[in-house]
Amino acid sequence: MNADDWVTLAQVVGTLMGGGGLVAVVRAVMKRRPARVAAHVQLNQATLEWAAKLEASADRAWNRAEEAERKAEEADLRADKAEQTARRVQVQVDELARYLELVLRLINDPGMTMDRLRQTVGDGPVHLS
Amino acid sequence: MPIVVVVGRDRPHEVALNVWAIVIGVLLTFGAPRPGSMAALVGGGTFYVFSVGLGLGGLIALIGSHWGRDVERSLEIERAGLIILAGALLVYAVAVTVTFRGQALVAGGLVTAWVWANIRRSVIITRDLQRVKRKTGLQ
Repeated sequence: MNADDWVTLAQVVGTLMGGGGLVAVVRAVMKRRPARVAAHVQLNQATLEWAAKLEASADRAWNRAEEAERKAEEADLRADKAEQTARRVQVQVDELARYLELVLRLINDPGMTMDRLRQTVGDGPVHLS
Repeated sequence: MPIVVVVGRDRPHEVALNVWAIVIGVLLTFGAPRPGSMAALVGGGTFYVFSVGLGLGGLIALIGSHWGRDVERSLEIERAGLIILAGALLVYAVAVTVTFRGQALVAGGLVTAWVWANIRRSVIITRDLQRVKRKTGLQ
């Protein structure tokens, strides 16, 4: 085939495509569509709206999860502080118990006098001084 | 974080090419200099069919892609416009290639790719319309 033949072939094919396209346009514009197709278009729109709501819901769930994680971290911090306070109090209680044991032992000593007792026990445990 | 992306119906490449087809079609129909390949191989009447097909195809495809809420009708119109445009472009692609051969690599290649894209998009639209018809039970 020479150049002219190719161009002629392209013209024929192009004309057929063009003509077919024009017919398709007329048919598309003139075709009556029943209510079910309108319902389907509304379904597409509803699907888009559903997708938007799903995204918003997912965003809210994500924010709530982050908020819950933040509160859990704060609760952990408070628990750590409470444990440290409890340890400090335990140390002071142990010291007071040892002091009271000492005082009881001294009181029960037969050779103990009031002056020597005052000098020995002092003003109490360190944290109460 | 989940992201929902809904693919829209506006495709910038298609829109830009359709607009360009309208512009070129109008200019060539109303007196712009003819491309050398077309002037050499295509007669006067046929050339006007080509230029009108270019402008009309681009216009119909552009209108179809922005028709409105009737998705089915808009797809059909868009497809028809793309086919008309592809037919007109095919004539130019063949004319420029047989006239300039290797020198037509860029112009001929681009237009051929444009023709292919229009046909490919038309096939995709046809497949989508068939799925719509199956879902709604219409023929």
